Amino acid sequence: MATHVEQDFPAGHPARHDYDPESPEAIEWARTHVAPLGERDFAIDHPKAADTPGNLNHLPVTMGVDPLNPHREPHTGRSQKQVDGLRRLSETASTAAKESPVLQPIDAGIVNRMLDKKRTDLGRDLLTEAEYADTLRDYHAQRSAGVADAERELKLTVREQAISYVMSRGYDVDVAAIIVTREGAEKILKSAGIEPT
Amino acid sequence: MGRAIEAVAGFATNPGATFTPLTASTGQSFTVRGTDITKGTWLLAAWAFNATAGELRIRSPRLHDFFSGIRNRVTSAGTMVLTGSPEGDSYTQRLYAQDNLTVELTGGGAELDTATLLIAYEDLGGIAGRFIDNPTLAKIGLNETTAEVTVTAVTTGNFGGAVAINSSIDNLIANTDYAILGAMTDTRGDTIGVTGVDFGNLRVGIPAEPSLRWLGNNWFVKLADAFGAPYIPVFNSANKTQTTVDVQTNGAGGTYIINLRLVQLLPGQVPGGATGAAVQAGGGGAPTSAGQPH
Repeated sequence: MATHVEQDFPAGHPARHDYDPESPEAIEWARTHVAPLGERDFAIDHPKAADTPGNLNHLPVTMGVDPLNPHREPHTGRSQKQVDGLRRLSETASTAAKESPVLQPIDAGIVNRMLDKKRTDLGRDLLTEAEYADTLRDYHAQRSAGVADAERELKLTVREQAISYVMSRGYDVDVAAIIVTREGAEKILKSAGIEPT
Repeated sequence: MGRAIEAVAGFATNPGATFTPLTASTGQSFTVRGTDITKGTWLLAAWAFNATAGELRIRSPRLHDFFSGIRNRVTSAGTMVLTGSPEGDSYTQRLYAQDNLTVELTGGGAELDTATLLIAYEDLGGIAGRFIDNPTLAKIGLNETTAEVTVTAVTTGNFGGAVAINSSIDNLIANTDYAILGAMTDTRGDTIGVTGVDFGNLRVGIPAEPSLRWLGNNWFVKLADAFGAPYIPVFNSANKTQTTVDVQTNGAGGTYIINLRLVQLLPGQVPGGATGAAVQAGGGGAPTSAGQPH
């Protein structure tokens, strides 16, 4: 078994017993360890050192882009040919895609209770599209009268619109009501450039 | 309380340098919904997606002024939040019932540019959406999972390509509540929309920006954190076929792979949901305790 010989200094090191300043080892040691211009950020030959041949410091590093393959699509790495093909495919698909249906707002609590009743009646959890539609139709039918009332109730009067505007100037609702009573709702809305609805 | 969140998106066709009022996406409106005037309505965030840089302007006599209002530069090809950003502490503009917001864009002269307002209602009559805050999420959150869907957007500037949340991978546990923490997209668009019975059929929205994955993936958590309110939507997997994901974008359309970050919740903790009474009472044998490490 070979015995491991531990040396005190590597070949070319100035402190080594056989140091010869003209030897290739000593010249290489001096090149890699002596910096005539002062302290370096990276050691000589470090891949990021400015004087290392072939370093990549000049390459921009931007999000999603491989610095060594900037021609590839950011984030996916696809080639231009793939990108073009996918774009054509996507354009075709987008042209054929449908807009999302417009849904009527619902009370989640009530509809979920109605859906649960339906699930219990049917004895299964997953409802079909038609069963959902039935439940929502029932919901809207039951609520139609109430919705009309609620809409009427929610429709702000001219006075409420004026109070709302005064509140937007920083007054709380009580003070706003007093101001509107004193100044008149229509006068306030007119001065604010708001058309009463 | 009838809490609701609604993402209202719109588009301007060839706006160029002229402030052009946005056309709201089909079935939507930039008029704030009617609520009790003493209950808060908030502009949680607004963002825009322009192919050419422009300006997004939101104004109303009820806001700061009707001259310039909230006006921000839209940089090109980046769906960035322009106001009400939920990064860390933030500020949200109060909105007023039935206020007709004027939302305008400038941008390219031969393109369709898009923008979205995310509006939260503290109490919107007749909606009662299901939302939780961060302490509740930490207390009743169980396991994280992902719903990945593929959405093909339309080229008209409207929301399109709606698919069910389980359309690609159907791994949700039956009769179980899930919180939607946010979503990531691999393709840039304006808005990812999620609509469902549990949100009162209103659309909650997330900016469709692929380079801000950390923000999108935590979007509703950040909103709840920044504004100190329950803004994390919750749906029940019994409604998975009626909980849909769609995208609104510019005239280029596109195919989007969306990853929705979900957290399974303990059963029966969030009011207003399906009880799972039909087949799996008690939420399919889910554990009864959960929570984040302390």
